[in-house]
This record gives sequence, structure tokens and C-alpha cells, in this order.
Amino acid sequence: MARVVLTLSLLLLLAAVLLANEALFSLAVVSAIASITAVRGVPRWPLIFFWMWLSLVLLYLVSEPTPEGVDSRLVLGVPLPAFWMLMGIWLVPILLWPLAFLLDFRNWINR
Amino acid sequence: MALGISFGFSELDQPLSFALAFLYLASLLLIGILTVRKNQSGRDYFLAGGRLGLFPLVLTTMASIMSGFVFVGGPGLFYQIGLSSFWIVISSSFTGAMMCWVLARPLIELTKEHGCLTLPDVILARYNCRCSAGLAAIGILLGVIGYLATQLQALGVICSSLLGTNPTVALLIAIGVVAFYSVAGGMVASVYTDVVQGVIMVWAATLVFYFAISSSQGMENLSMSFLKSDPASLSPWGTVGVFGALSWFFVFSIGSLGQPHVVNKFMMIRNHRVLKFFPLALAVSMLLCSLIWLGSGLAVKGLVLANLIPKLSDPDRAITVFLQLTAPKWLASLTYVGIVAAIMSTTDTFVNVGASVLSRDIPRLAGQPVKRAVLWGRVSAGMLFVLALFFAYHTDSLVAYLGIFAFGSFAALLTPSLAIGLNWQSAGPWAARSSMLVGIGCTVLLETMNRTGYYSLQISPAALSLNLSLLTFLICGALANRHFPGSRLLAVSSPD
Repeated sequence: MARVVLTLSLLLLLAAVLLANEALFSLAVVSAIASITAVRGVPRWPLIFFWMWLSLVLLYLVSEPTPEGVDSRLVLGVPLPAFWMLMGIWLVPILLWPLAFLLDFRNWINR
Repeated sequence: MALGISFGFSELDQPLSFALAFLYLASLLLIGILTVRKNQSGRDYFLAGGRLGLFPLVLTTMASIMSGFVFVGGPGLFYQIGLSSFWIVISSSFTGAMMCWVLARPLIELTKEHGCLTLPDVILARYNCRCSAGLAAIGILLGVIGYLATQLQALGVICSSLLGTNPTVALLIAIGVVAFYSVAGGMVASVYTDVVQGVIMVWAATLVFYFAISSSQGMENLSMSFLKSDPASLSPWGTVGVFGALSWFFVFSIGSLGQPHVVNKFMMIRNHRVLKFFPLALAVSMLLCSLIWLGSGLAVKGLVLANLIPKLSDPDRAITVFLQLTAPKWLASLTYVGIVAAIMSTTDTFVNVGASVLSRDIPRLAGQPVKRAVLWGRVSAGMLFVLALFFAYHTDSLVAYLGIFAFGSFAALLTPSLAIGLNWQSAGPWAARSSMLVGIGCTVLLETMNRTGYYSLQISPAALSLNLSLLTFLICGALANRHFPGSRLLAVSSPD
């Protein structure tokens, strides 16, 4: 199943490049990352949450206007899109993925 | 990743920087001397005896990944293209967990059950195919020489500032130290020195970030000046655009599963249990190191936007300009030692990886295995330094070419055969061979087209090469499974 999703994601990625579709490209990248992680079996719910979280953050970032019209609202001193990039792709996955591994560790050892 | 940097700074506190550099280099030499006798076998020399615990594993992995590129190239790239450069390191928060889930178990099992010492060994054991193992060995060797040459170039230039000597003398001193402990102590010395280097790197990066933000009178003030003068620099996609930025994200997340200097760390651990907190600890340590990328890049760009300093002619000087103008002298000295540590820690790992290919894999695949593994490992490590020095001095463009694209070529070469192949029992040698040939062929072809202006796709050449290499493996694996059911090979315990 993971290999099928990975193959489809990689094909989708090529299609997104040919169609010049940024949203499709971001979905393909996230799906490829999630599916290659799942080739050996990972806990289902963290994987689905990880995929949905990254997809939503990337879709939000892709939908942001051009840099000149960038959202100037600041959160913790950082413009909103930059805040979501750093928080959503960098900091939250630190809590999400390594903690999911920690919680899955007993199963992983015995698998 | 290449470092074509020219440093020209004279405001370092020379006695302090000299003392710090001396202390640092002396401690590395001491580690080299103390670990010589710990190398009794190839397993000791190439895999540090396979006895690593959590703390050294985290620091040696982090120090191997975070080369001089993150400490020098990162701030420069931020200065040049803004926040979008950060897509290169942003995936570091979850790649540790990915590596554990996907690679740790098969690598540990193959190491224990088949006595594998190197990644070509793993590929040979998994696919029972000399051709695949040979392709992996040659690809790794070429990448290692490119990486090493660029690291040595940067090492000489930075050490000349630290030690107050001309670059050639500094290069010889620095290479002398790193060559001594790498050649004499092998991976045992490399791991111990990585622990020292990793601690220095984390402290230097964290302090630089703190001083960068505080010297700019807070993040809010800095953001306002960016939004006023150059909003693109704080936009997630900046000047590279969505396709460019996400190409980096794709390559540096999935491609991390094919980096030989990183994934071979799983072959060195004591047992599975060491890995429990590994992803979390690795993510936190890499987060702290990445702060130097953000902090100094932001601060220098802010100074330029406020017209306090002129535009930099060479973006790679961003970190040195920051240290000269903003940081206290003790921090500048500590950071230079941190940069040297980052370069040396990557260098020693690559020397070990390259030496194992030269002294073990290539003779073994050619049917002439060597008997005295440690001796030949040391000879090969010495030869690699000479080769890398030759490249560094005489073929700059080739070195830069190999260095910049080493990560991408490693990714396209090894990721499919390791990440998918070790977890898919049915995938045969045909899939491994094809994906390696497609990966390395596409990398060379597309990068050449890109450099000569014939590449017009929005996706980066490295991302396209990785994509095609993965697809080749998946398709060939599925076809071989259907048409050649006898191709089921050595069973690495796998869910399918």
C-alpha cells in the first residue's frame, strides 16, 4: 500500500511540474515523504495527522499572495506566513514525529 | 556542499582565538593518540566497534550532517535569497524519526547477521549483486572526494584567521590534525571528536542566534524593517518560488535516507534500545545548530537594509561580517572554532566512509579482499587526503561542482535501494542497478544542463533525479516481482 501511494505521489509530482500547479506539487511532496516513511509500517494515526498537518500548512503557504503583498501581521515578531512556515514545518514536526516514534517504540522493538 | 569562501577579517581577539584554537586542536590530537590502540579490527576502525550509546550517536550524527555549509553557506544563502533558503534544513525536525522507522532495523540486522561494515556491504548482502554494490561504492567514493575537497578548502581559510598564519600553513596544520586522528583513530576517534565538536557547534550556534536577535533590537523591529524594504526576504517562498523551495524540501527530507555518512551510524549502535530518544534528541540538536542560519543571516541582511553596512559582494561572508560587527570578540572566537568543528566533523566521517570503500569494498568486489583491514584503512584514509588536496588545489570548478551536488547525487544513488529496497523483499538486483544508473546519470546530465542553461523546468535537477530514481526502483521492482519470481533474495525481515 505504501509503495503504491509513493509511486502515485512521485507521478503526481511530475504531473504538477508539467501543469505548473503549486498546490498539487506541495501535496505530492508531502505524500511522498509520508508514504516513504510508511514503507516499513508506522503507526497509522500519527502518519495521517502528519500528512494532513503538513498538507494544510503548505496549502496555506502556497495560497499566500506574492511577497510584495505579504501578510504583514506579526506573531511573536515574525510575519504570519513565516511564522506558519517555521512553526508548522519546523517546530511542530519536532513534537509530532519524534514523539510518535517514542510512543511507538515498544511496538517497533517487537515488530 | 561547497564552500568557495574568502575570509578577510582582522578584528578577532588573536590571543583568545589562538588559545581556543590551540586548546581545540590539542584535544583532537589527544583523542587521536588515545584511540589508536582501540582499533584491533575492521569493525573497530570502520564502525567504532559497534558500541555507540545514545549521547555519542546523537552528537556524531548531528556533527556529520551539519557541515561548514550550515555554519557559513547557510547565513550567506539567507542573506542572498531570504527565508526560502531555510527549506534546506527545515526537514531536520523529522528526518531522524524517518531514518529510524525506515532504515534502522534492516541496517542493524544486516550488520549483526551478515557482518556488514559498509553500505556497499549492505547492498551486496541484500541484493547479492556485485554490480549494484560496485556502483554504490564508486558513487560514494566520487561524492566523498568532492565533499572532502571543499571541506579542506574552507578549513584552510578559516584556520588562517584563527591561527593568524597564511592559508597554506593553516591548511597544513588543520589537515595534519584531522588527518592524524582520522587515520590513526578511525571511526572511534571520529566519534569521540564529533562529541567534542558537536557540543561546541550547538553552543556557538545558539549564542550567535541570541546575539543576532538582541543586537537587532528584537525580532519585531527586524521584521518591520524587512517588510518595509524587502518583504520577499521574509516570505516563505522568497525569490526561489514554490517549486524551487519545495524541491529542496523534497530532496533534503527523502534524500536524507541515502546519505552514507549519516545512515552508516545505525550500523554502529550497541542495540535497538539506544534509538528510543534518538529522533527527539537529534531533532533538538539540529534545531539549535540551524539557528545560526536564521540568526546571522537575518542580522546581516537587516544591517544592509538599514544602510548601516554596504551590500556584501560575497554573500558567503555574511557570518564573518556579523561576527566582526556585532558579536563580542569571545563569541567570534568561539564561533570560528565552531565552524572549524563543523567542517572537521564532516571531514573525518567522510574520510572514514571513503577509506572503507577504497580498502574494503573495491578490493572485495574485485575478488581480492584485503587481510589487514586496519592497516589498509589507514593507508586509504591517507590517500584520500592527498586526493582531496589535489582536487582542492587544482580543479576548483570540479570540486565545487562535486561538492554542491554531492547531497543530491548521494540521494539519487542510494535512497531507493536503501529506503525501499531494504523493506521490500521482492525487489531484486535489477531494480537496484537500474535506479542507481538512472539516479547518477540523471544527476550528472540534469546538473550539466542546468549549468549550461539548457534546463528550463521549475523543479530542481536534484529533485527530478531523485524522483526518477525512486520511480525506476519502484517500477523495476514491481516488474521483476511479476516476471522473475525467483528473484526473491536474502530475506531482510520485512512486513511484506
